[in-house]
Amino acid sequence: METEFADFYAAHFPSLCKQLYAYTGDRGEAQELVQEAFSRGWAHWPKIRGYDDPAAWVRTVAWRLAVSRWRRARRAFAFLAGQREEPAVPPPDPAHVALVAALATLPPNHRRAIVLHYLADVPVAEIAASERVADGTVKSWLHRGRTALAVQLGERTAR
Amino acid sequence: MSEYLRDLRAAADEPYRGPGPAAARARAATRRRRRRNAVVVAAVLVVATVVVGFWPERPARLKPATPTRTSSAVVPEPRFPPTGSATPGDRDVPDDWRIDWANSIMNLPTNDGCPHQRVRFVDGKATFAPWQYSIGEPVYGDFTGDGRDDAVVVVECHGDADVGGPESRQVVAAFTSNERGGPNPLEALYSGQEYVRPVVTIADEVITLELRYEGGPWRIEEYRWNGQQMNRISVTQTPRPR
Repeated sequence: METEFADFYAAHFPSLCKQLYAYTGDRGEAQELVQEAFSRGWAHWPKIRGYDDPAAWVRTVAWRLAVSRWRRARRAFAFLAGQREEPAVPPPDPAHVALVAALATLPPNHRRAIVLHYLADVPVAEIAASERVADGTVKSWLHRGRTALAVQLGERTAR
Repeated sequence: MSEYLRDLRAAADEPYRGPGPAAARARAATRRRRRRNAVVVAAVLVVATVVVGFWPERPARLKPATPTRTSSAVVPEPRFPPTGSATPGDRDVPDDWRIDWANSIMNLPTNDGCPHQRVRFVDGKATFAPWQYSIGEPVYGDFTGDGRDDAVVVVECHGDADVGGPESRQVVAAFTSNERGGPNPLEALYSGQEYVRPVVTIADEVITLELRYEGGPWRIEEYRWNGQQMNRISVTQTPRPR
C-alpha cells in the first residue's frame, strides 16, 4: 500500500503543486498545501484508493485548505515559526513567475476559474457547480481573466 | 494567453517536487497520534469525573454548614403529617463534613425507590418532572467503625399518576465522608413507598430506623455495617405511644 501511495504521490504532486502555486502565488505555500492534502489522503488511503480519480480528492482538499481562512492564519503562524517543510528544489522558470504574478492581480474567483480550467482540466460545469454559479458566469470569469492576463503579460513583456 | 498556461502545465516537475510520501505519511501519523492522545485525555477526564462523583462545580457548592443540632431526619413535609422526631444525643456537625446538604449535587446510592441517582438540591428540593425530591437533615454518627462520623440522610421522592402515583417513596441513604467533606454514597439501607418519613438515629455503630405510623404500631429496624454491606439485624414493632 505504501508503494502504491508513493507512486500516486509522485504522479500527482507536481501538477497539483503547479495549480496551487498559480492560485496562491507562493510556491512554498503551494507545496505545503499539497503536502497537507496528501497526508490527509494517506489517512484515508484505504478508501480513496478505490475512487475513480483519487487525485481529484486530494485536489479538492488542497483547494479547500487554500481558501480556508483558519488554515491561512495557521500557515502564517507556522511560517513565522519557521516550521514549514520546504524541500530543496530549483527555482521556477522566470516566465512562470511572471505568469503567476499576473494571475495574482486577478480577483480570486477569476483566478480560481482560470487555474482549475486550464491547469487542472476541470470542466466549466464542474467549476460552476463548486462555485455555485451559472455556467455562463464561469465562462465570463474565464474570458475576463484571460483578457486581464493578456494585458498584464503584454505590459511585462513590453518592459 | 492559453499557451502561457499550457507552458506552466508542461513545466518540468523538479521545481514543484514535494517533501515526499514518507513525510506525508509521518505527518498523518503525528496527527493520528495527537488525536488519539486527545481522546485518551478526554476519556480520562470523563472517568475521573465519574469516579469522583461530582462535576467540577461541586466544590463551589460545598458550603460550610452552620453548626446545627442533628436531632432527627425529619423535615417539614407539607404533603404528609409530621412524623415526630427521634431523641438522639446532642451533636454538632462533625469536622469531617462540610457540605450544605440542602444545596448540594449528589449521587444517591443505588435504590429501588427513587429513579434519579444524581440529584441537585436547591433549598432541600429538586425537580425532575414529574418527579419531586426533598432531602432531610442528615444524622451523623460512626457506623463503619473507623472512628470518623458517617452520615445517614432520608430522601423523599414522588411522581404522578404516570409514574406509579403521587405517593411518597423514602430512601434512607448512608454515606461516608470524602476528603473534601462531601458524601461518598455507600448504600441505600432502606427504600420503599411510605407515607411517613423514617426517623433515623445512630448509636453504637447501629443505625435505627423508626417508621412511626399514625394509625398503628411503629416499625423499628436496625442495621449494622459489616465492612462490605448493610445488614438488617432486627425488625420489631412497638405500640404507638399515647
